[in-house]
Amino acid sequence: MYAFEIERPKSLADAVAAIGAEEAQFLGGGQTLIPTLKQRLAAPSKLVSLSGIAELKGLRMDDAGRVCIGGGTTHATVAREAAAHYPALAALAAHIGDPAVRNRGTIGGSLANNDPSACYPAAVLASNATIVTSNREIAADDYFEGMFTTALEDGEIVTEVRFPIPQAANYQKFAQPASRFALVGVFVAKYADGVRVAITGASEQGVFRWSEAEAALSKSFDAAAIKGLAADADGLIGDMHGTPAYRAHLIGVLTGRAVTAAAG
Amino acid sequence: MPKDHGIGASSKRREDIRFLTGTGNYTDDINLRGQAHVVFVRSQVAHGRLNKVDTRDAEKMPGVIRVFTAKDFEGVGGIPCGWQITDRAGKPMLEPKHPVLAEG
Amino acid sequence: MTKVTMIVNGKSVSAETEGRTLLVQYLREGLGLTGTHVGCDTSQCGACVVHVNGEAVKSCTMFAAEAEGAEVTTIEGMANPDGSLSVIQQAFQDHHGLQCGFCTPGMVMSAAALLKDNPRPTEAEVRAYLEGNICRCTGYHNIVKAIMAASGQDVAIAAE
Repeated sequence: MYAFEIERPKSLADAVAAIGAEEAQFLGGGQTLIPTLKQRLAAPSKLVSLSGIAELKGLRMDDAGRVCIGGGTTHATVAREAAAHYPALAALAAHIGDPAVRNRGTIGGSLANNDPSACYPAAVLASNATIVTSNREIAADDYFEGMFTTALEDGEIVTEVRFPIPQAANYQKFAQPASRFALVGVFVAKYADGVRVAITGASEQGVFRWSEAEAALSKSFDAAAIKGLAADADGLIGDMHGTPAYRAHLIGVLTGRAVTAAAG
Repeated sequence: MPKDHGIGASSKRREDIRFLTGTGNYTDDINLRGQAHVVFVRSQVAHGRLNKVDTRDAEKMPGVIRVFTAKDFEGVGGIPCGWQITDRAGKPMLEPKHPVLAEG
Repeated sequence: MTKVTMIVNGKSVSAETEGRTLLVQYLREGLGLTGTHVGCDTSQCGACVVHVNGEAVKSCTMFAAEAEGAEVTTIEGMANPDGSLSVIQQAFQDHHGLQCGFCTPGMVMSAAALLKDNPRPTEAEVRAYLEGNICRCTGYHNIVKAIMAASGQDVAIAAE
């Protein structure tokens, strides 16, 4: 690692003030950023750690009945505390990385990084969640802008993520066995006004909605409704773990499994 | 059933106590005064041919005491084979080289 | 350099650190607590697992500065106050849950974290919890067996 200073503010306001320096960067749980720093793929002059900010941590329900999760909440906390309100989201959080990673990694960090194979973006997009930052509120449909790219501006912190609770939902991950990241992950969420299907791990553009499947499942929420529907392999990731065609196939299979599990 | 005493019974390992209490002493745990550290540069490809080793940049790095390459170990190495066998035609078996460091 | 103070195995300690100093470096190089091992340095292997405020974390993937004011427990703090092995440590010895011992500190710390939250886990839960801890000698059967025994449950001996 290159040398840098580290600051650990106690409040959101102090964190926003601390990020002023040109090459400063926020540090969430560090489960991606620290390995990146070790590889010397990033060289910030200063890190502003968000782990000491109590107001960013924890879950609450708002008046609209949404589960609201603080940006600094760890995956382990979401797995434990969201289970009663939004089981599919809790189950997703319970399978990120491994237990020690889940005790550090945060939802805000995951969303700010927007790894194309991360799990949380699928839940956020399928749930049409609202991402609240230190400046504004961003709808999930406007938030994810491509691989490792989001609508966040420099110095903006994800303070809360608000999830409307679906009637039924399920997440299916085909895990890459070494990294536990999704080779393909599919989050299906059924709301009163329709079904949303978000795919992670598959596209070179990061998380995306499979609109053909959404249309079919909104008419009939049954795995049979997407039988014969093939995801387009164009623009999907091809690497040593799987070809674009393989990933396209997995999208169909996992979507079917998610619908069956959610409906059951 | 496993036996708990006498011949054939499994015995408790004496070294377990230090490993279980964090008092083992692995190479990485040894830190003597003035100790130097070594870094091995390994192949970055699974299969390839080593054409040449350029150590100039490594030697210029601050704190580097010495860079070793195969040239420093000429005449060293090889693992003697205790029992040479011959093939059906009576030819001696081929011994692979076991250089200390990879040769370019 | 910043002074970082924390409580390690019940004792208040403090040391000057750089921003980039990892918690594992602080423990091993700063405090001489070399029981916590660096196996992979990429948060895959779990040899560096310690408890920070009671939660298992990979100390190679956390900065020392982030443990400011925290209570940290390492393998050196796991034995009973009289120096005898704790229930989990004793179970590892009794069930041959280690060979070279390199992964053992992380295994014991993960096992302790699991049993704190889930005192009577199923075998499947033990195996799932250890997915971030890699052992390259014995395999996992005896480690799982040791943890089941430490939780006071019967251990199948059919495999012996």
